[in-house]
Amino acid sequence: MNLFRTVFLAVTIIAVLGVSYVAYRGAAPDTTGRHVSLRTGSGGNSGFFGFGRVK
Amino acid sequence: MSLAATTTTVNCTSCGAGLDVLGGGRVMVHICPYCGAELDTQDNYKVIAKFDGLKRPDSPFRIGMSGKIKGVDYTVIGMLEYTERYRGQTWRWIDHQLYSPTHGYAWLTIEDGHLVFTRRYRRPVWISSAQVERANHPPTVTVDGDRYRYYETSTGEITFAEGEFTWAPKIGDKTTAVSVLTDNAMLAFSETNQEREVYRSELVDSAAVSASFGVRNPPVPSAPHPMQPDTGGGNDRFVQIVALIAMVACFALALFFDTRTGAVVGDPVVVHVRDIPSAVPVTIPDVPGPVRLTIDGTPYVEPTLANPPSAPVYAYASLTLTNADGSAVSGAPSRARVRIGGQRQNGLPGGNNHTELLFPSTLSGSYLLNLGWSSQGPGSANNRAGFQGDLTSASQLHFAEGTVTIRSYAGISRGYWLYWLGVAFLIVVGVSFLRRWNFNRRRWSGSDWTSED
Repeated sequence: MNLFRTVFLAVTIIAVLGVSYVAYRGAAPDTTGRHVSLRTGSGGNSGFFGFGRVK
Repeated sequence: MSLAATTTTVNCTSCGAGLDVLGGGRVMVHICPYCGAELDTQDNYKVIAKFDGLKRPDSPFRIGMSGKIKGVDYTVIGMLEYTERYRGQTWRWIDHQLYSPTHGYAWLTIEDGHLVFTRRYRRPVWISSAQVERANHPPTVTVDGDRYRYYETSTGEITFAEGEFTWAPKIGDKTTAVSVLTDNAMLAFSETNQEREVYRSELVDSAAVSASFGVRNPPVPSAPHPMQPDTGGGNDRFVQIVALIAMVACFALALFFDTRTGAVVGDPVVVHVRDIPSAVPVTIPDVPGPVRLTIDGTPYVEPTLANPPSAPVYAYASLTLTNADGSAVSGAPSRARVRIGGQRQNGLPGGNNHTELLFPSTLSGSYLLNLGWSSQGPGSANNRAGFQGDLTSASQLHFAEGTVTIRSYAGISRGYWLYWLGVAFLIVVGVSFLRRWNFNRRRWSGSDWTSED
């Protein structure tokens, strides 16, 4: 396997694992910072962009 | 330059010049490079035609040169120049007839500075120019596992000839060839007045072949050749596969993490509607990740009106978050509320009966959640009962029972950034396909196929 492939594979694995850890810790735009987010709806996580969010 | 190891010489029967005989037993004619006489090798080198005043094309390969192509020793025994004229444009290419004692005859062509190696292709495939004319879509042939698609039809005229050939070329002879292209090779279905033959061509390493033949100045490509390999694509397939797998993994993990909505921390707090307004102490634990505070109103409440409306009754409780000392929380939502009632008996809870406050991990601590009465919407039980304006106390409610339940959840995961990473991998895959598409667009840009609407 050439150097490019090795680096690309390594970067990909590190990116997926790193972002998975971030996801595991619940990081998202509405869960970081210093404001409380309001969500209305039937509960659960809001998926990709959230729903019914009102500041 | 290396010359063939052993040569036999004959004298031109027209001008007397010494001619090296290099081409093996199937040679039919020998065209004298000095006087242009075409000599019949099957009939004591008798002159059968004479081509005067021809201008020798500029080729670094000369008759008598030997070298290796694809591991086989070949000797240049003849040279032809073809010219094609179409709509005011002129194309020229030079074919070198090659001979190998072990592998027979072949051609080495200089085309736009590229070296193309061609051999007879003895397979039962054929596409005629008439078929191309009649076709609605570019004709294709599949042979030896390769799928070839129509590229062009060209008619070349011989404008120069010298050396030995296995047939008798004449200046002005025209050959029509239908060419089909696959990734790294072309088939040419060549048709003259007398015969038709199939040839298979592929590009060879110009520098290596030129060096092998002792050519000091190898031809320099002037434009990309349609058979030229996708030089940028050595890692394309690898990148596509890895990025595709990573993209699927990202979306799958994101969906999985989105299902981790957390576990309840502590006991739920239940507030009865008769106790509103009320200030409920809530503690946001100091845990990694966000904490979710859910506020759920009773979906169905029994109306206490003398003549209850057919629509379910409901009321909205306003939710205000303050610090434990009653001071306002910076960055807290200002329009939070939750509905109590509004659903039919035994119905499922509606979206309005559920509200959430999401606390970042940086905002752990003690707070007060102040529940008050919000204004009711039109069509509510109170409006129908003649009540106008905001609710200010539970006594104004026209239902007796109902609760608001407050729960805290920790251990929440979110797939948000994994979705974005998946999108990034999707772009990587897309760019890779786009690059490949652009490469194919360029290599097919020389095709003369036009779709008629």
